[in-house]
Amino acid sequence: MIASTRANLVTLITAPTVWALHFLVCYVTASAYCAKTMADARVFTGTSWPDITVARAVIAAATVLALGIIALCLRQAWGHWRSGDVDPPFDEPSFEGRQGFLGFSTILLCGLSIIGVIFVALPAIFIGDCR
Amino acid sequence: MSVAVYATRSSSGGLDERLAKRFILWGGVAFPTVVLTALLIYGLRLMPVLRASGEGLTIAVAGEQFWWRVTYQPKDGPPVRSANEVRVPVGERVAFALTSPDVIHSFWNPSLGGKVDMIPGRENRLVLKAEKAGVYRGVCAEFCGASHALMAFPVIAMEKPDFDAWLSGQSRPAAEAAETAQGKTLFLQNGCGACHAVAGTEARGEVGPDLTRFGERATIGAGTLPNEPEQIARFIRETDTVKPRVKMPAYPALPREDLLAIAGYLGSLK
Repeated sequence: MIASTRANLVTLITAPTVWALHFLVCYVTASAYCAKTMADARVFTGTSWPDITVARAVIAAATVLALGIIALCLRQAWGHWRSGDVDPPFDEPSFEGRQGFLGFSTILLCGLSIIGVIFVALPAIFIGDCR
Repeated sequence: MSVAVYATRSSSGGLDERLAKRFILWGGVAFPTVVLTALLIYGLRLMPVLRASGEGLTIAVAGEQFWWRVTYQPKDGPPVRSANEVRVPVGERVAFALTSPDVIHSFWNPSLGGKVDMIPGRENRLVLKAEKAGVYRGVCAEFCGASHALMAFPVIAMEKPDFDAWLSGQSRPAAEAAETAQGKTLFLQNGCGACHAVAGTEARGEVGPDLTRFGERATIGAGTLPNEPEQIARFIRETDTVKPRVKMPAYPALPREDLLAIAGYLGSLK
């Protein structure tokens, strides 16, 4: 993210870091929100479960933000990967070799992080209360 | 595995590079992602159903050493006390409030649902739904003492109209027959009522199982013996042999005729 023309380790770990932070935000939000709203809720009150729209909105916003940052990261990494004329396995001690290696690794990590972020956010779509 | 065999046995010069890349992309990335996403969505859609609330009837069950205290709490109507047997309507989600006053027990009826621990100081929740009428055997699934293995409970699933009729009938005391009057007198004289309750009589004890509809139950001592006069008499005479470490004292001094009279009275409580 910091280097726009040269790939480095920071760009490499940006996507997994965003994924980890998104995971933390989602779980802390859901658990804190449910702990607060469920404090007075009785188990057997039947249908009157606390509304968790606020928690779901926070998770949705965090997901959009995370996917946005990862998308930027992916765009940049794509540029790094495509900039040189080097083919895998990128093991030459040259600038192009490093660009290619870091760019391609970042692309793979971005893909993994996108799937991770979506999987973390999916329960908020299907589970509408704190049970 | 077939692909691995093909790859190692194949004598051709290897795969075309573009084909190999495509194989990795589709077989290694796209396919697992799609399959995992589909499985995750399928699982997540099932989760709210598993945690659905009950539909009105709540049954409080307390696991005690070594029996089950059962209290039906209908949405409208007074609570109904029973023991060692749970009746539920077919096709209705019934909520269970599971507690324990002594040690940790576990409420487990494998045919109907998973086991849930009964932990002193906590109220755990379980919702069960019987799809078919019948008797489903349940057990205590957490070692709780010497008679842990002698602590079963049948769940009897009844059609909804039958269940409603049964439950509303429970608020009335059991019918009493003239021929069991002596058994009733002996039951009260020997102090059984200090621990056991029989609705409509002076027996109001709450230490042991409620015996109001004792005659309706298929077993005695929480699934330990069949509900027959001889077995009831045996249970009273040698309680600690039949069910080790149970709170009820044995009554070896009671004459056999008295034991059978009490057994006759208890068996008639329907």
